[in-house]
Amino acid sequence: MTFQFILNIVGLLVFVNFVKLYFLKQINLINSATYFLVNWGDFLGYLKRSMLQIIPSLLILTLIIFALVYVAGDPVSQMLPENATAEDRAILSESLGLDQPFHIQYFQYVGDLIRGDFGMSYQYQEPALELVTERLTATIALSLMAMLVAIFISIPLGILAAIKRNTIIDFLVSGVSVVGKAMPNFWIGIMLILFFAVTLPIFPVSGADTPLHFILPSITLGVALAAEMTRLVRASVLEVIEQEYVQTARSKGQKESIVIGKHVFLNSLIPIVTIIGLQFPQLIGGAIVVETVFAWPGIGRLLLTAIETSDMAVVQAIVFVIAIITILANMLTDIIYRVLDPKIKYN
Amino acid sequence: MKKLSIISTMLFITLFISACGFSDPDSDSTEKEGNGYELLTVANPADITTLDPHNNSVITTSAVLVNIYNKLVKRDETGEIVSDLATSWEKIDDNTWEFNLEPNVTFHNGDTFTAEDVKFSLERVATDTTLQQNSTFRQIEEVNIIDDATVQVVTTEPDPQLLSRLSTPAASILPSTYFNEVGADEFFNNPVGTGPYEFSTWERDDHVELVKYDDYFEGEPKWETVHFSVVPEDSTRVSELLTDGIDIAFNIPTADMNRINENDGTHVALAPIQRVIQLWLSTEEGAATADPAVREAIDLAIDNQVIIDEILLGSATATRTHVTPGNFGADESLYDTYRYDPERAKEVLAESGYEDGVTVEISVNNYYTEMAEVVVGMLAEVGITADIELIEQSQFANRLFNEDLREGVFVGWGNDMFDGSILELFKEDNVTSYSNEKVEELLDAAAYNMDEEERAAQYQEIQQIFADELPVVYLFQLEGRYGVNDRINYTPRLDELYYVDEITLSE
Repeated sequence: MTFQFILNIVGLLVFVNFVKLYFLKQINLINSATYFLVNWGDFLGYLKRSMLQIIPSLLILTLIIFALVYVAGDPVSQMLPENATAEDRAILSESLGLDQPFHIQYFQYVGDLIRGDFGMSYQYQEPALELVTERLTATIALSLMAMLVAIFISIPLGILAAIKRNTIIDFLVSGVSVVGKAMPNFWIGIMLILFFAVTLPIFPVSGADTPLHFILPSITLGVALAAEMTRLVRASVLEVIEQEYVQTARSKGQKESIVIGKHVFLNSLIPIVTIIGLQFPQLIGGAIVVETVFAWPGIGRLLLTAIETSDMAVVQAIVFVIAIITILANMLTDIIYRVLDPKIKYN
Repeated sequence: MKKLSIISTMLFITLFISACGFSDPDSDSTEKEGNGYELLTVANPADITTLDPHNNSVITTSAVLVNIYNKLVKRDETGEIVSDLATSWEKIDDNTWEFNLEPNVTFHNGDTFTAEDVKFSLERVATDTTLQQNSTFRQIEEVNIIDDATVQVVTTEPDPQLLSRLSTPAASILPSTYFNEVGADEFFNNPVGTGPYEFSTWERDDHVELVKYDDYFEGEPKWETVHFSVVPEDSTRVSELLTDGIDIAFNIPTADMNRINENDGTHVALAPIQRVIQLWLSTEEGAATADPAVREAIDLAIDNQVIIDEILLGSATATRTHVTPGNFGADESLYDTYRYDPERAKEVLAESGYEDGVTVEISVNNYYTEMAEVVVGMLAEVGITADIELIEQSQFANRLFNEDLREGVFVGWGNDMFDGSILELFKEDNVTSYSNEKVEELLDAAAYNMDEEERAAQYQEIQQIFADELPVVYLFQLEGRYGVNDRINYTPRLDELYYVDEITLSE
């Protein structure tokens, strides 16, 4: 434990130093960041406006979720033992207030929501929000790891394909990414388990106890995204590579690695950041499948069980939390844009 | 520089992962040193939903909780009701039962078990209508304390099923003083019972950990630690078993049975469970199945054994009743048998004027789609066109009770009470609209009949009527399929519960 703690501290220090060095070298980025800080006021205004826009979205969202879950089913039939009679169902329904008409139940729900109460889970008899938050870390951790996997695969491959466009390497990369996109998550997961946990017992089969447990699920979740991002990175790099300033840099006699690394890659980042921002919430959606395959204790699985048992409060809480994550991810994307390109204004 | 960046990234990832609060690897590995009884790991497809035995109707949850709590009586491996916390009992009159309690029993927190705890626990589940098991215990009017070691349970009406009710996991006894002191929320965060294993931790959607309770009144339990882990995906559960990650994998797919048996160190254990696959047929006016000839033809057209052999690889037994052996009132003449005669089915249809065939609409949920599809094929052979509607389980349950399903309803149904009273599913105003005066009479009489022999005969008569009139075509009783590590002996139970101390190391 202590050893790992020290490692972590060292890691953090190295990381911070690395970031510092990186930023010192990239004057452009420093300029952007400075500009960003100078326009702090604008930024705060933007934040306020975004926050105000969120409120009506969330209200509409509550109505949609509530209506869908209401139509989808009555939890009572699944809560009682199999020998329960119609009378038993009526008694439980009344005890839980489920016999009330839709609008009364809805206003009750929104009223509670405003007080921060997401209601009780019928299956677990616990506050729904608590059930969600205690599993949220596991899902976010998995999604972030999957994102890292996707970035590590897609950026080098995408750049490579763009530089070597229309060669065998380019076709190979495109081919692999089509396959990667086409393979369903659950299939990749099961295959990875068969090969790397059963046949070759390198990784644990399932669970979330150690860092090793992260490897297979995050690859599974990251592959489809990596495939999509590879194609995007390739397209985006290709566009920039044609620009005159790139040719200028080349004609100045700069090393090709600097041309690609500094002039091309940095300038092709905007669409890449967009897709990362947009994909993050989708990753959480994909987590439903991956969490089930790998017995990962996250909100994806909770959502699945909650839908199967018509556990209204839990479904509502999860969708609500995912919605907030989506909104936050979009806001973050917007902000990173401005750091990357000061020409984009807050409006 | 490049190397530095890679190293720092890796370190950052380690930092991130450990910051997420995942525990160290050493604590969970299945160490198999010592005498072998250190750790038992059982993998279920679903997590327990609660630690409250009174507010649960899911078997996978009860299967875990039976190790923490005791009841007054319990069922042994053969299904007989035997003593648990009650040493003996007798019926005082039709509405009153007296139970003598085991002395010297303590709860995991040290509290002594007394009659007060019985009164508190049974009255809690009998009176609180928000509890999921309230419907099972509403017949209990009150529990009277005679002295510290004697209670009388009074029912509102004569209740021949009282012992069955008291033997279900939902009749678990909780410590009254401690419960009232800390309140329900706090109690179920850290529950105590009188069972052989104490609650230790519950990592949501990951595992529940129980540890040995040294002062258990029936002697020292066998296992030090028991993990009930959750692995929802079938093939992952099988992989865990094959790699020695777990000792028992519940509900393995039939497709993997051979692989588990052929693998060195694992085997499949099968045992009948209470679930009977059946096809409910509407007798409502206007339904094609309202004609008894159509229902008979359906029964004759289905080759139960082919479905058992092909889809379930033999892990089921054909039946013509829901009340299978081990349940009160079982008619064994209808068990381990089925009718299959496609030629006769065609004749029956022709005699009733269906020379051109007949169309039947069948609803099925996602659990039994494959079986239902085979049935559709068999019906087609005799000229019955079955139009199948596949419905997701939560919708299915909902529509089932709103009587919003089609002519045929393909279901798997259990029998928690181990009693012929499950036939009340077809009491007046039921989903199929089936109605038969004689059946009503028999069901009403049997419900309150304290004469066991006569009561059993009443249920047997109903089963014969059903087999004749076919408001429901019973197909087969399923078997529980468990993948088991060869290091242990495990015989699955009819009630699908894990009484951990029945699981031993193999020699």
